[in-house]
Amino acid sequence: MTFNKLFTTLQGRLLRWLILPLVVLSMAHLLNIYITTKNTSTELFDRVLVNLALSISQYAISSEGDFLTVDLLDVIKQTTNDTLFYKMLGPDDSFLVGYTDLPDPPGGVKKIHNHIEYYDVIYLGQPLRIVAVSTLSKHSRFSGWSKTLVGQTLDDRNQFIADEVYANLLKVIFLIVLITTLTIIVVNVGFRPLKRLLTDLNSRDIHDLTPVDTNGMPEEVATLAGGINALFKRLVDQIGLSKRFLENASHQLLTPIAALTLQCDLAIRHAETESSRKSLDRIKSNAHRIADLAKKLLQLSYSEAYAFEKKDNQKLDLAEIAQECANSFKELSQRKHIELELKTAFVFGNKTLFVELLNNIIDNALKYSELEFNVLIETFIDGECSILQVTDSGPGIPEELRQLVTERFFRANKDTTGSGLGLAIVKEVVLVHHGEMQILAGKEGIGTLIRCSFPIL
Amino acid sequence: MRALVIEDNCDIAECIIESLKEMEITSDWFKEGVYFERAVAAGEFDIIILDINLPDACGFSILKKFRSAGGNTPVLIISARISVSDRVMGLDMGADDYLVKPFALDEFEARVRALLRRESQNKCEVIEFGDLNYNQNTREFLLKGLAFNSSPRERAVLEILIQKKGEVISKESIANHIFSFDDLADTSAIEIYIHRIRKKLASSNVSVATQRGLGYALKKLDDV
Repeated sequence: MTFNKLFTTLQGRLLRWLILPLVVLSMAHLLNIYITTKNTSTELFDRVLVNLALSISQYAISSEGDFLTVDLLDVIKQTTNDTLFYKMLGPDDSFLVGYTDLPDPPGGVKKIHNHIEYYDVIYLGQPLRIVAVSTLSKHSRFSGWSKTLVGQTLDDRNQFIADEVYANLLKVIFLIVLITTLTIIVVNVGFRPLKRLLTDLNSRDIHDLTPVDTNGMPEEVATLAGGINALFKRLVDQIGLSKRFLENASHQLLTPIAALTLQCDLAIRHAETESSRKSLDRIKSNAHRIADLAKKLLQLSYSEAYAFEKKDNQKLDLAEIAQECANSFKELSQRKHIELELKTAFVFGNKTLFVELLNNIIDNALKYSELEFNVLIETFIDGECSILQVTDSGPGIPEELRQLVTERFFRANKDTTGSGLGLAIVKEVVLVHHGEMQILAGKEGIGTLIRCSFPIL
Repeated sequence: MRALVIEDNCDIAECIIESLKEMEITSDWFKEGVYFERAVAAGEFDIIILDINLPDACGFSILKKFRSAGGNTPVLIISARISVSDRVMGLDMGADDYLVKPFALDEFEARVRALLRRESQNKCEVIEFGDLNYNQNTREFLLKGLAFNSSPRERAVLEILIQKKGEVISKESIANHIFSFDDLADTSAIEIYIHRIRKKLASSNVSVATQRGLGYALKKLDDV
C-alpha cells in the first residue's frame, strides 16, 4: 500500500483510525512505565544506599575513624556497578574520612538521630544521588553527633529504567504490528465482495446495463449493488424514453414530408409550365433530403438503443445481406454498376442494423462514384475476422479527413447532396457489434475503400 | 377496381385517392381503424392501402385480424416505420407489400399495379378474349388491334368481366367493385354500362351475355 493510498482508500482510512490511537495509547503507556519504574528504582536504590551509609558509619566508628578495609569495599562493590563516594564525619568532628569535599545537604545536616536525607548533586562532572544520615552514637570512646554521606552515580538506576521501558516498548511494537496485520487481513477479507463487484463492473461492455447479481453478497455490498442496479434501471428507462421520443419525432416528421412529396408528385404531373415544374422538382428534392435526414436520425437512434438492449441477435451471413441490399440498389441505379465478390462470412448481430449498414455504405459509395465506374462489394474471412469491404471509384477521401467523415453531419464535399449521417451510421453499427472500421485509399490509389471487420462467429 | 384506404393523414390520403383515381380505381377512405372491419364487410375491394400508425388502432393488429378471419384481398402497407423488423412484421402479418413513407407516387402506383396483377387469375401481362385484348399493366383495351374507346366506368366493368374470363359475375358484385360507398349510383347503373359496352362490342366476336337471376358473363360469339 503506497503512502497515498493510506489517505484515499477506505482500507487506509480504517487503518489510520485504528493505528493512530493505538500509537498514542502506547506512548502514554510507555510514559507511565517510565515514571513508575523511576519511582520504584529510586525507592529501592535509596534503601540500599541508606543501609550502606549505616554500615559505613558503624564500621568507621568501630574502627575509630579508619579507612574502609578492602574486604568491606569488595562487598560494597559487588552490590553495584556504580561508582560510590562516601564521607564520614565522626562524632563531634573527631575524624573525617572519605571524599572530604562531597557536598553536604542543602539545608545542612540536622541533628536528629537517624535522620535520613536524599539529594542530587553534580560531583566531579557526573550526577550523583547522595544520602546523608545523622546518628547519635554512644560509643565508649566516641559519643556525639556523627554524619555519614554516601553518593552513588545514576548508571544502575538509569539502566534499570531503560531495561524496563525497553521491554515494554518491544511488547507494544509487537502488539501494534499484530493489530495492523490482523486489520489488513480482516479488512481485505471484508472488502473482497466489494472488489468482486468492482471487477464485475469494470469487465463490462460499456453498453451493458443488465442488473448486477446480488446473490451471496453481504448486506452492505448488496445495498450498494442495489443502488447501482436502480441507477442502471433508470438509465435503461431513460434510453428507452429517448428512443421512443426519437422514433415518434421521426415519425411525426416523416408523415408531413410524405404528404409534401406526394403533393409535389401530383403537382409536377399537372404542372402547366416548365418553370413551375422545375420549382416543384426542387421542392421535392429538398423534401427528400429532409426525409433522408429524419430516416437516418431514426436509424442512428435505433443502433444506439440496440447497443444497450442487444436484442434480436442472430447469426448472419454478410454475403447474403450484401446480395439483398445490392439487388435493391441495382433497381434504382442502373447507370452505375455494382460488382459483387461475395464469400460466406458469418457475424453475430442485429439484421436490421446490418441492412442499414450495407444500405448506407452502398449509398455512400454510389453517391461518390463516377457515373461510368463500378462500386465493388466484397465479403470474405480474413484470419479471425469477417470482412465487409466496399470500394468506390470516386475522388477518394484525403487522409487528413478520414477521421472526420465518420462524424455526424460531416461532409467532405459540400456540394454533394447527402445528410452527412451515412458513414456515422456505418461506424455506429460497426462499433456496437465490436467491429472495426477503416477508411483506406482504393486499389491503385483510385477511390475509397471502406473496410469493416467483425469478430468471426 | 376498388380500393380501401385507411390513412389518418388527410394530405397523404388525398394524394393517394387522386393517384388511384388517375389509375381508374375507385376508392373509399377512412381515417380510423374502427371502420376497417365494417368497410370490408360491406364492400368488395380489390386492394387495401393500410397505414400502421392510426389514431385508434395499430395497423398490424387490424391486418392480423383481417387475415385470420379469412380476408384475402391484397394489402399494401404504407408506414413511416423504417426498421427492417417492422417491415418483416408487416409482411409476416399478411401484408403483400410494404412501402416506407415518404415514397414517390410513381412507385406507389407501380406497387398497386403489381399487386392487382398478381391477384388477378391471369399472371400474364395481356389477357386475350376473342377480338378483345386487355393489357393489365397499362389497363388498356384493344379491339381487333385498335384502341377501344370507352368511359372509365365502362372500362372498369369490362375489366371485371374479362378478368373472370367468361365466368358469371353478379350485378351487385360488379357494382361493389366499381362504386365507392359515397357514389349514389345503384345497380341499375350497371345495366346502362353493360348496354353501352354491348353496343361498342357489336362489331366483334365478343359479347356480354345475361344469365337471368345470376348476372353477366363475357362470351365469344362462336360459343353461343
